[in-house]
Amino acid sequence: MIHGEPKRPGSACQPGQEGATLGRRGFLRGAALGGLGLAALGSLGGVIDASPSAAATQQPPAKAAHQWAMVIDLRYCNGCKLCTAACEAAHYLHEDQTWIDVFTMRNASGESYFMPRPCMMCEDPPCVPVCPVSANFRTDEGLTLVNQSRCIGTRICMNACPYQARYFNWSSPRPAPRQPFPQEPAWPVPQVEGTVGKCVFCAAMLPAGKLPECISRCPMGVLYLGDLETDVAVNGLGNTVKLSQFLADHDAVKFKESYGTHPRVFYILGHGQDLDTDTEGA
Amino acid sequence: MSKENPSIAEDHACDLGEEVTEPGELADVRASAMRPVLETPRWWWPAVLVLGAIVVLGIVAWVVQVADGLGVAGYNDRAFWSIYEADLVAFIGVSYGGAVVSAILRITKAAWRAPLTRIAEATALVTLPVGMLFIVPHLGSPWKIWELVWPPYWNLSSPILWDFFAVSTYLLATAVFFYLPLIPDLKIAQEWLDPNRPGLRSRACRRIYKALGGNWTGSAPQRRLLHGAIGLVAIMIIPMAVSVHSVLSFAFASSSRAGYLETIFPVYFVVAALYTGVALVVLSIAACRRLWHLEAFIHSRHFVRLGFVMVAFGAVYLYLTFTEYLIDGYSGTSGNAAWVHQVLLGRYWIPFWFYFVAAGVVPIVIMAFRRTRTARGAVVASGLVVFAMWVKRLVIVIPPATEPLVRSPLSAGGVLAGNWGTYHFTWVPISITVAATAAIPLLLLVLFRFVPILPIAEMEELAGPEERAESVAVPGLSSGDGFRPAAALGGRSLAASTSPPSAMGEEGGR
Amino acid sequence: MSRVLSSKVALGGWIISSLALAAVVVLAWASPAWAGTTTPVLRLAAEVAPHDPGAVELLATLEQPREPVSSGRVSLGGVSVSFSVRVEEFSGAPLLALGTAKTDAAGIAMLTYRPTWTGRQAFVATATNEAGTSLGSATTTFIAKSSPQSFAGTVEAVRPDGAIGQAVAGVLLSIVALIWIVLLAVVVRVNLGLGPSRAAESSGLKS
Repeated sequence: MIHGEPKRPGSACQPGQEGATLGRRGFLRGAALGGLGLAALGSLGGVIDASPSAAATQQPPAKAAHQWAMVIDLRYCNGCKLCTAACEAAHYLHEDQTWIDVFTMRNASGESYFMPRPCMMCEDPPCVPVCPVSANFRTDEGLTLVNQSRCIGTRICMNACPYQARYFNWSSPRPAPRQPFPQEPAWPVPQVEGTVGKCVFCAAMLPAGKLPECISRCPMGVLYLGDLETDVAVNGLGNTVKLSQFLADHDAVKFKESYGTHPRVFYILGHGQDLDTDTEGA
Repeated sequence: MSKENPSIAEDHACDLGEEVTEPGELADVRASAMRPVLETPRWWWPAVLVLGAIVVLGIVAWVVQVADGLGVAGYNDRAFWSIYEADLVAFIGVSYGGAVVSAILRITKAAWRAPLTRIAEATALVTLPVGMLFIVPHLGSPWKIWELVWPPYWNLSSPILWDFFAVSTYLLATAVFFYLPLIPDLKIAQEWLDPNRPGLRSRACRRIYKALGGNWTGSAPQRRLLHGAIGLVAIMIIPMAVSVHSVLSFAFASSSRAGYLETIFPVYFVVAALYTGVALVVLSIAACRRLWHLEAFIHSRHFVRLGFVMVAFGAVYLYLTFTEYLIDGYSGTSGNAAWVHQVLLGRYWIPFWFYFVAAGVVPIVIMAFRRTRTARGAVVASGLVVFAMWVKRLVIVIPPATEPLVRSPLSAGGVLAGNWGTYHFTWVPISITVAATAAIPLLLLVLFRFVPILPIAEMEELAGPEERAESVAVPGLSSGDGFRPAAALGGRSLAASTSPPSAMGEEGGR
Repeated sequence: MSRVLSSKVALGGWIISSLALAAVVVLAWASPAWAGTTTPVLRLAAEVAPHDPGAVELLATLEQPREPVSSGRVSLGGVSVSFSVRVEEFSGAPLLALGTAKTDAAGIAMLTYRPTWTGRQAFVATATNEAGTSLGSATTTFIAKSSPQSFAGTVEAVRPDGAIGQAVAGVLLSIVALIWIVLLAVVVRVNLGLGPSRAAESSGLKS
C-alpha cells in the first residue's frame, strides 16, 4: 500500500512545477524574514511575489498557442449520455465517475431538457487555491488539471467546486491497458486511488488536433471544442464555427456566472431553457 | 478568587449551598497526587487492556480502509466529507477545554481552579494529538501526508494548510503549557519516588523526572522565571486556541456551498469547541476523582462552576445556531432555502433536533435547577453535550457536502436535476471514532502513571497563606495566581518542605 | 489450398482494375464537358489588404472556359462564391466558412478577412451559380504575419485586490513563525534558568 515518491509530473504540468519552485524560493525568503520576528511586514514583498497560490492562478505572461473552451448547444441535446459513456470508456472510469455528466432539467412549463456538465475550466478556478499541496494547477492553455501523483486526497477542491465537477477515487481505479500517452495530468489514465480526478478536456489529445472523446462521440453535435485564441470551434460532426460570432449570435451564457469563476464552457440555450445562475449561500 | 483569601475552604462556592470540605492537608496533596504513580489499582490493567483492544480495533479498521480505499468508509462523490471531518472538528474541539479553561482561570486568578488544572491540561494534551490524527483517515492518500510538511509543495492560500499550521502550533503550545507548571511537581515527584524502587516504569519515571524537572530549587529567581513563562504562555494560548478553530472552520467556509459559506462559522466553531471542551474537562475530572479518590480536593462546586461555564458557552452556541438558520432561511436564496429545509425539517431533522434537545436545552435546564445542579447533574449534562455536539458536527459537515449543485433553476429543492447525496455509515469510521474515544482515557491512564495527577506546588501555594506571605517580596509574582512553590526561600528549604511528610510517602525514603 | 485461392483472387482483381482504368480513360477523352473545359475556371488569390495590413483580401476570379462554347461567352457575373479557411489545428482540417460574395460582371468576388491566427492559412473558395450547380473551387495559401489578440486572459482582472490576501498570508506566516520561536524560547529559557550554575548562583545569593 505504501506508494513511493510521487513521480515527477509530466510535461503538461510544467507551469505548475515552475510555480512550485518559485513558491519555494518565496517561502524560504518569507520564512527567513519571518524568523527574525520583527521583520513581519518587511517580509511581505518576498512572500507575496512568489507564493505558490499567486503562481498557480496567474496567467503566464507568454501567449499560448491555444486557449481551450467548450460550447454546449443545449438546443440539440437529447440526453443520450453517449458523451458520458465515451468519457468513462476512454479514461477507464467507474460508472459513477461522470466527468461529463448529463443532468435532466425542467423548464417553466414543466418540460424537461438536458444539460451536459463537463469541467468548466474556470479562468479563476476555486479548486486551485484551496489545495494544501498545490496539486491543482492551470496550464497556460487555460486547462485546470490535477497532478494526481501530488494529490493527497483532502477533497477540499470538491468542496470548492461550485459545479460538482470533481470526482474522487474511492476505491481502486479500473485497470487500463497501455495508453497512447504517458500517465500525466493531461491524460490521467489509469486513475490513482485516493486522489481527485475530473474532466481534463482530453488534454493530451488536443495537440494532435483530436477532439475530446465526448465531443467526437456526440451524435447530435451538441458539444463543440473551441479555441479562444484562434476563435474557432468544431463539433463532432465537423461543423466549424467562428467562436465569438457563434456565441454572440446565440446569446451564449455561462453556468453560475455570478460566482466569479469565469467558466470557459459556454451554453447555448434553446427556447424555454434556463440555467441555474443565482448565487448560493451568500 | 479573592487574593486575600485564596484558600479553597473560603472560596465563593459556599454561596451556592454546596458542601464545604476542608482542604486536604499538604501531605494529602502529595500522597494523592503521587498515588497513581506509585500504586497500581486492581482495575488499571483490565481497563488499559480493554481500551487498548478498542484502539487496536480502530487501527485494524484504518488498515482495512487503506487497503480498500475510502469507499469502505461510506464516502462517495455526493458525500465527500462526513464523519472523519466531524471527528476532526469534534476532537480538536474537546481538547480546547483543558488548555483554554485552565489559561482563562489562571489569568483571571480564579483560585478554585488549582486542583483541576493538571487534569484539564493533561486532557487537552492527550486529546489534541488524537484529534489531529483524524487527518490520517480523512486523507485519501495518507501515504503522501509528508507533503504537508514539505515547504516546496505548500500552497499558502489553502485553508487546510493553515489548519495544519494552526493545529500543530497549538499542539506545541499545549505541550509547553502542560510542561511548565509540571516542573516543580517533577522535582517533588522525584523526591517521592524511591530511587531503589524496581521496575521498568519506575526507572522511566526517574529518568523523566530528572530530565524534565531540571534543577528546580524553588529559589526566587527560578520562581519568577517560571511564573513569568507560565503567564506568557497562558496569555498566548487563548488567541491561539481561537485561531485554531477559526481556521478549521475556514476549510468549510471557503466554499460556495449553502451551509458552508457562513461568516458566522469561525465564531461558531470556537464557541462549540469551548462548550464541548469544558464538558470533556468535567467528564475527565469526574472520572479521575472517582478512580483515584480525589474527593478531598475536587468538590461538587468544581463541577457546578465548570457546569456554569459550560452552559454559558452552550447558550451562546444555541444563539449562534438560531441566528445562522434564521438568516439563511430568511434570505431564501434557493441553495440556502433548500439547505435550511433539509436540516430543520427534511432528511437531517433527527440529528439536528437531537442536538437541540440534548446539547441545547437539557444542559441549561440541568444547571438551572438547584435539585439537578450537582456534580452528578454536571456530569450527565457534560456527557450529553459531548455526544450531542459530535452529532451537531455531523449536521454541520454532511448536509452541505451532499447538496446538489446542479439543479433546475425552477426547482428550489433540486428535485429533478439534483438529488441530495447520501452518506452511509459503515463499521470502519465508527470503529475508528470509537477507538479515538477510547484512546483519550487510555492515554490519560498511562500519563498519570508518570506525572502527578494534581498540581502539587500550585495547590500548596494557594492553600498555604503563611508561606505565601513569605514570598510576597518576590517581584513579579501576584498572589493567588500561577505557580508559587510552597517551599519558598532558597534551595536549602526545598528539602524540608518537599520531603515526604507521612509514613505512606516515606515508603521509599530518599 | 489457401495459396491457390489467394492467387486466383489476385488475378481477378488485376483484371477488374485494368478494365476500370481503361473505361475511365475512354470516357475522359470522349467527353470534353466532363473534363471541365466548358465551365468557367475559378482562381483564388490572397493578398495583404491594401488599407489594412492585418487583413487578407481574398480575390476569387471566374475566368472564361478555355474551350469556346457554342453558345458564346458564359456569363461570369452574379455567381455566388463562398470563402472558407481550413482549421488545421483540428485533425481533418475542417472548413470554417468565412462568408460569401457575388461576382461582379468581370467575374471577381472579393472578401476581406482578418486571420485569427498567425501562420499558414489555407483558403478555399467555391463558386455556385444561381441554379445551385457548383462551378468548381480553388485553393490558395497565405502566411499571416500577425493576428489580432482575439482572446485576452482575464484572470488578472478578476482579482484586482488579490495582493491583499497574499499580504495577509505573509503576515500570518510570520506570526506563526514568531509563535513557534517564542514558545521554544520560553522552554529553553526556563531550562537554562533552572540550570545548575544558575541555581547555585541564586541560592548562593539568597544565603
